[in-house]
Amino acid sequence: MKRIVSLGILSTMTIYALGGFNETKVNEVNVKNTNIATLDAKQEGTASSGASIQNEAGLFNIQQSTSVKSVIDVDNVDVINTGDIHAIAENSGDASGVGVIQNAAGLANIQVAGAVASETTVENTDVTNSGTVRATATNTGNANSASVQNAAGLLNIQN
Amino acid sequence: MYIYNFIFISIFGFNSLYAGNVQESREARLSQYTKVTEVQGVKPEHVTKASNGNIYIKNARVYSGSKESPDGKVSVTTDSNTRKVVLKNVKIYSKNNVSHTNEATNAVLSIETSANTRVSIENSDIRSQNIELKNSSNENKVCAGVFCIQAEKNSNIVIKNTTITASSTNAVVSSIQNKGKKCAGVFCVQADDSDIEISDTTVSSYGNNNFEIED
Repeated sequence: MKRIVSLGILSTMTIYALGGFNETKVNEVNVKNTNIATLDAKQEGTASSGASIQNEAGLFNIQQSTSVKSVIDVDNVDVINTGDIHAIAENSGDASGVGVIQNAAGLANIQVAGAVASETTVENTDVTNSGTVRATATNTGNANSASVQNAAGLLNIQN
Repeated sequence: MYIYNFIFISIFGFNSLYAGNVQESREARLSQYTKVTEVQGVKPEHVTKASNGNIYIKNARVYSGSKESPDGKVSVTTDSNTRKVVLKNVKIYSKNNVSHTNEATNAVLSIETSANTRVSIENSDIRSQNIELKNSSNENKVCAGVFCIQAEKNSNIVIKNTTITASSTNAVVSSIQNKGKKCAGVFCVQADDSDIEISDTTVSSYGNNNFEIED
C-alpha cells in the first residue's frame, strides 16, 4: 500500500485565518488517512481588488459570506470515505472589487469570505479516508485587492 | 430444554420471517413508483415543492427515481412569508437518476430559503446511489450534490443526527459565472451572514464518486 500519507495531508490540511475579527477554532479534530490520498493544489492567480468567488468540491462543504456576522459550528461530525473519490475545483475567474477567491477540493471544506466578524468552530470531528481520494484545486483567477486561497486536502478551512 | 429451544426458535424465526415479508412488500410497492413518492404524513406535491408559510415535513419516506424519471428529487423553496423549514425523521433515497439543470440547485434534497429563515433537519437519512447531477446555472449560488442548502442572510441552519450517504454519484457544476458560490459534493451549505450548526451527523461515501467544478 502506498504511503503518501502524513506529510501530504498535513501540508495540505490548510487553515487560513485572516482579518482581525475572524476567528477559527479547531478542537479534537482527527484527520485519518489509511490508504491513498493524492492532493494537488495549483495556484497561478494573483491577489491584486470586490465580489468573492467560492468553489468547493468534496464530501462535506460549507460556504459562507460575511458582511455583518457569520457563525459556523461543526460538532461531532464524521466525514468518511471508503470508496474512490475524484474531487476537482477549478477556477479561472477573476474576483472583482474587493474580493477574495477561495477554491478548495477535498473531503471536508469550509470557506468563510468577508472581512467582518466570523466565528468558525470545528470540534470532536473525524475526517477519515480508507479509500482513494484524488483532489485537485486549480486556480488561475486573480483576486483584486484581496486574497487567493487555494487548497486540496482532506480537511480545508479557509477564513 | 430442547423443547423450549424449539419453541423459542420457532417463534423468533417466524417473527423474523414475517417482518422480512412486510419490509419486502413495502419495498416492492415503493419500487413501482418512478417519481417522488411519499407514503406517510404529507403528499408528494408538498414534498417536492413547498413555499409560503412554515414548512414541516415529518416522519416521511421518499423513494425516488429511475433514469426514465429524472425528476425524482425533493426540493423545498421558500419566499419571504416563510420563517421556518423543519424536516424531522425523513428518509430520502434516490437511485438510478440522471438530472441536468440550470437552476440554482440540483440535489436529491435541496432547500432554498429567503432571508431570516430557520432551517432545522433532525434524525434524517439521505442517500444516493448511481445518480448523476449536473448544474450549469449562472445563479449566484450554484450547487450539485446529494444534499444542498442555499440560505440568504440572517438565517439559522441546524442539522442534527442526520446521515448523508453517496455511492456512485457524479456531481458536476459548470458555470461561466465568475462570482458567488459553487459547490459539488455530497453535503453543501451555502449561506450569507447566517448561523450554521451541524452536530452528531455523518457524511460518507463509498463506490466511485466524482465531484467536480468546471470553469
